[in-house]
Amino acid sequence: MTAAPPHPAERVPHFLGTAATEDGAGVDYAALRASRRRRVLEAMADAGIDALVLGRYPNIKYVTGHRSLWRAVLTPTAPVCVLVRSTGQVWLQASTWDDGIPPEVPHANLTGLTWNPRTVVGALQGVDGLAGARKVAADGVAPSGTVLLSLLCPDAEVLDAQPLLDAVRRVRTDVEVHCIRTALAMAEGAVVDVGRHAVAGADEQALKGRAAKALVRFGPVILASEPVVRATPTERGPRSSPDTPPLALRPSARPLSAGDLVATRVEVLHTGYLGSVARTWVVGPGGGVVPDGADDAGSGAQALWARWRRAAGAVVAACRPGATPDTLLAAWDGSGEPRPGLPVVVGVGHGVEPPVVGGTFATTDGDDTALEVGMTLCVQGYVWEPGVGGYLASETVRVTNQGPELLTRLPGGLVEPA
Amino acid sequence: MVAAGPGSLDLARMRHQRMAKLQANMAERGLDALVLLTSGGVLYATGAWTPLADTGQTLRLRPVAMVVAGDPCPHLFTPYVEDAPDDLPADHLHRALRPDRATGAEELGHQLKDVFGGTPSVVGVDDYTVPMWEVLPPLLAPAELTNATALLTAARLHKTADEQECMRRSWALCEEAHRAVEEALRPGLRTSDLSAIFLGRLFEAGATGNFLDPVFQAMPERLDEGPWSTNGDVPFALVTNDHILRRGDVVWTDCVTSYEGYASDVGRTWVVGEPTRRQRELFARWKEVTDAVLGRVRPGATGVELTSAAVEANGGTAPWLDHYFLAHTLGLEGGEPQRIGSDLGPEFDERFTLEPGMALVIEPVTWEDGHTGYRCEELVLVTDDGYEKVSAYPNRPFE
Repeated sequence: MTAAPPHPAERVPHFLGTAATEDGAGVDYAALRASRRRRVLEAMADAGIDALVLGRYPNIKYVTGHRSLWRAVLTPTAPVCVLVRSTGQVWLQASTWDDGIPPEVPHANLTGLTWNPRTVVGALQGVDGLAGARKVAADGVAPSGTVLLSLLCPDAEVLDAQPLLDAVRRVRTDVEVHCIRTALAMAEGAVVDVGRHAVAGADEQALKGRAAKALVRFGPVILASEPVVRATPTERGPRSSPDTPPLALRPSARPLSAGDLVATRVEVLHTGYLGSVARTWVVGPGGGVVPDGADDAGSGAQALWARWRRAAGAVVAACRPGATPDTLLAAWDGSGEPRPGLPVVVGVGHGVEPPVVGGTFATTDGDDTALEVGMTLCVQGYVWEPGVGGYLASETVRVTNQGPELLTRLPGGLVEPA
Repeated sequence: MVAAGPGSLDLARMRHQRMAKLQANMAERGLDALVLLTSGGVLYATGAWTPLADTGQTLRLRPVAMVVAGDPCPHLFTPYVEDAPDDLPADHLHRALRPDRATGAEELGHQLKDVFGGTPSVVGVDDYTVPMWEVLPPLLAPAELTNATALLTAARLHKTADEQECMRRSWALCEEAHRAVEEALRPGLRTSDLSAIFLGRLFEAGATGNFLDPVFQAMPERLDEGPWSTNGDVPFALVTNDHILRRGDVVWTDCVTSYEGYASDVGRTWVVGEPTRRQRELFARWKEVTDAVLGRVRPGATGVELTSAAVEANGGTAPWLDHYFLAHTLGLEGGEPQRIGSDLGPEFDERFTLEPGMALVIEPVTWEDGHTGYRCEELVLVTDDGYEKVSAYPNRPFE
């Protein structure tokens, strides 16, 4: 028996860039959307859920592939998207145009922007299959939303949709990893562009603008977060904890000085997938340099990089099937470095996904699910030395049976220079 | 750096005065505590800077605020402890919560009891994760959980002098970034290139954040050249693409940026090249409409007075987009719920009365199929006897 040829959604188009091609080569996004939605519908069937009522964009993006206007704002949860299991149909509220709407969502399932709650109710009442639902999963409930749900599906039990969607999204196909790689390439380009201009006298705000400009040069992409360009502190600040290496992210007004260690983090969404890259530039006369064993980065930076590699490298090495959040944190702790304020590991997909390991939280993630083959994670480490500064860098990895596969490709991380 | 305007600004005073307003609104409504999850609610209560990000990030790494009646300082639970405001007492600054998890929602309830010193009787909440919705009512029983949205809307509607200064600066920075884009506008650039120029200059000039994917949309000349729509009106604002600009393209902009959380909302109309005679006429009508509306802006004027003036100046039809509105109030993060001429209908507009301290964005649109149209946004602050016009972007080359 010969194995069946890979489904189009599983073929990975390397070295093609992001262009739409006349021969259809490249990522088959229709197949990718269909495969994601199929996984969601299967999970709904397993859990006996009749309909998903979604208001959070990462979930909506995963389920529908809707290319929507991006806002960096968390408003009260509104029921924007409904997926009905019996029909497999998607309904999108507040979508006045079919621009950005995948063709499998018919015009009849779109309703326009509205500011009137009565219109929202009316539109949702028109969703076939919602009124009779017995089990509905939602990803949030606005204070007024409880009334809304009881009005729309009076007989339904309402569950949390997030664990279901998190579980579906946990493992990424090769095509999804390809999208993440493309996003990483964009972020790497922007991090390098910041480095080229990290000279004495440069302004952190201006470099942040440069990072944003470098990213959008790649076309219609979304900044997943504001770029971070910030000289790391050489002493603890008033807000620093004695147990945590100090790091503020907001740009300061102080111009960069020679020898500053400048934490740089760029995060971008390409077709919804996150590329997150952090490196620390040492400010030099010809631009920033990353420590790579050569002398020009200074011995303090070289020593910090070595410490970062020991700690973050141990975490990356621990990113294997079966590892739990505790295993990953233990790997960091084993290096003897104090835990950073930022999470040491986050899942990478449509933005940040579980597990969120470490970080300045009052409780643990609460998700102790072991790592599986196909998960993608961002390992982000930060180490600090009084009088010298700090070193922030990240590596995005894929969990495989052969061990962690590094997806980030930039000096100053775990990749040894040639 | 851009000259940020002559006004003085005291951020600590601004935070203090906002908290006083929250407290007054809580007292009026009989609330003992607030639990705030929306980014605007947290910003208003705490003024805490966080990196503005996609909700795919902020849902997992989010600040939460709690306000206790009688306590002049908010409690901030944040993953970005070292970026918290200097004047927030250390015992009001806490590790981040995870309200999206069952354990995190429980912890949120326990923290509320801790900072309150017991179980409050009436708690205002501005959004729930599903775990919060399941966990909080039994955990906080017999507390009454109420909707904090109206309270926040009321507190945010009138701007203090410091808030007004933030809005002037925010608008000036967004206009500065617009100037950089307009100077670069030429055939052969992609509309996404305009976004790149915009963001580069915006941060360089000193804006503290960006709330919206910057819109630089090349407009179809006719509606039937645009995408299908539910209402048949002008398709705006669409998602950024990489349309390559050509001579004669009309570009509408819509950019919402931040200065200390306060939004600009600059929208302009540009032409790659020179406007046609008909396009100048569309501008002239837009100007007549805008002047007619501005002529009515003063304390006591109702929303209906503004819409009526606009309709009259436009010869009897509504000169704004069917899916939007003629005007809206502005504050933290962008547009506020007071929208004049929206599908809430004239009943809302009749009830809505302008008062000193409100910030109002007026965004009339004129359109003639085959010639595109003219749309710009103007910001005014309502004063004791009229208004102060904040927006100052020129309308050349249409004038």
